[in-house]
Amino acid sequence: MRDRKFKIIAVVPAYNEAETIGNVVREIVMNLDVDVCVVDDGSTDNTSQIARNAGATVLRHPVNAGIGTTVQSGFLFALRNGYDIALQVDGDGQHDPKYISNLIEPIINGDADVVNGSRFLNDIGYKSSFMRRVGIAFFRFIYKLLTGKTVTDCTSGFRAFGRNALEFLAKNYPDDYPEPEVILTLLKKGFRFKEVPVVMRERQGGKSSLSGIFKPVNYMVKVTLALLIDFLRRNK
Amino acid sequence: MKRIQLISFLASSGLLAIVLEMVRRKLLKERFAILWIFSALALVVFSLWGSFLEWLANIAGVYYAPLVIIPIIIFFGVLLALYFSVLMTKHDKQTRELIQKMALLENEVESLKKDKHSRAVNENND
Repeated sequence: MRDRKFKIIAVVPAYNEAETIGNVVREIVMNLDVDVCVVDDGSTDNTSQIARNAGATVLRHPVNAGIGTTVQSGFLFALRNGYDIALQVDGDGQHDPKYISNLIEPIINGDADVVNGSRFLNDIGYKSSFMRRVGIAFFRFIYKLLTGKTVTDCTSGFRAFGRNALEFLAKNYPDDYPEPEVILTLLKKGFRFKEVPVVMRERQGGKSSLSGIFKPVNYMVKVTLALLIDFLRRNK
Repeated sequence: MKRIQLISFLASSGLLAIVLEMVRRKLLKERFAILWIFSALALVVFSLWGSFLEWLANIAGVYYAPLVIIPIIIFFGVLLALYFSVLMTKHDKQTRELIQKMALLENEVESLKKDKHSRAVNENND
């Protein structure tokens, strides 16, 4: 389908992911024709060194700046170095690289500017708790209300962006809740959006940061407010 | 509606309009935007909700009810100033770290340049 070669990079934001970053980088580098840029957001472990040894280009923030700035750094690198497509891939191993070709396909075909990997398009994959399903339904409603589009997994960090989306994001990247906010900002600006189904792997270790009842509700309220702010903003 | 309420309502509506325009122009980070919109909205509500102010004035012992909003605003202003002092301290720390790291980086670059130059000179001499 490609009439010319697309230069593709996977941006992997990482903060203290020494345990998993090596495998994440190797899985991509060894199986796909995709470069990897790990953006180390001021880790206190040796994430950078491990990533470099595994074959990634590493950008290291001298201080911790948050996920929004971190991903944006990766996109700035992608633009500066002539990449056509930049993917966002988590550093903790939850994103399976075998879906990368599905994510980039609509961009290569010229059907979309941003492709989101959704866990909930097909209802398969790891089981969701009740609160999580409430959250998904809630955000679906908010997005429908604010953009008229169907977005089934706005907090997925597994996505692909074409060059024109990247040029826009280089100047406009949200700080507080980047994953959901970016989609809204791009939709509002008129970029073409598609979702493809992905299955994410179980969290390798540690507890989800959104367990219980209070934390998810708190998160939903804060994200909704942030989305409303983005809705009011005018982006260049 | 008392005259002071009308003035208060117009002023707080003006503030809300200014804040919304700042949000539109991306002059405020999301969390500050939310903070200021809620504050301006609260002021608009207080200017209209006379009975709440009267109740508050009764408890606080303020003789003229609409004036009870003044200590509330002052107290809130103090809390905001405190919050921003904490935030500024954090940014100050980050800035210092950045300054130092840049100085060390520049030094590394200079010595790498020197190494490269002296190596080139040595090769020319051989």
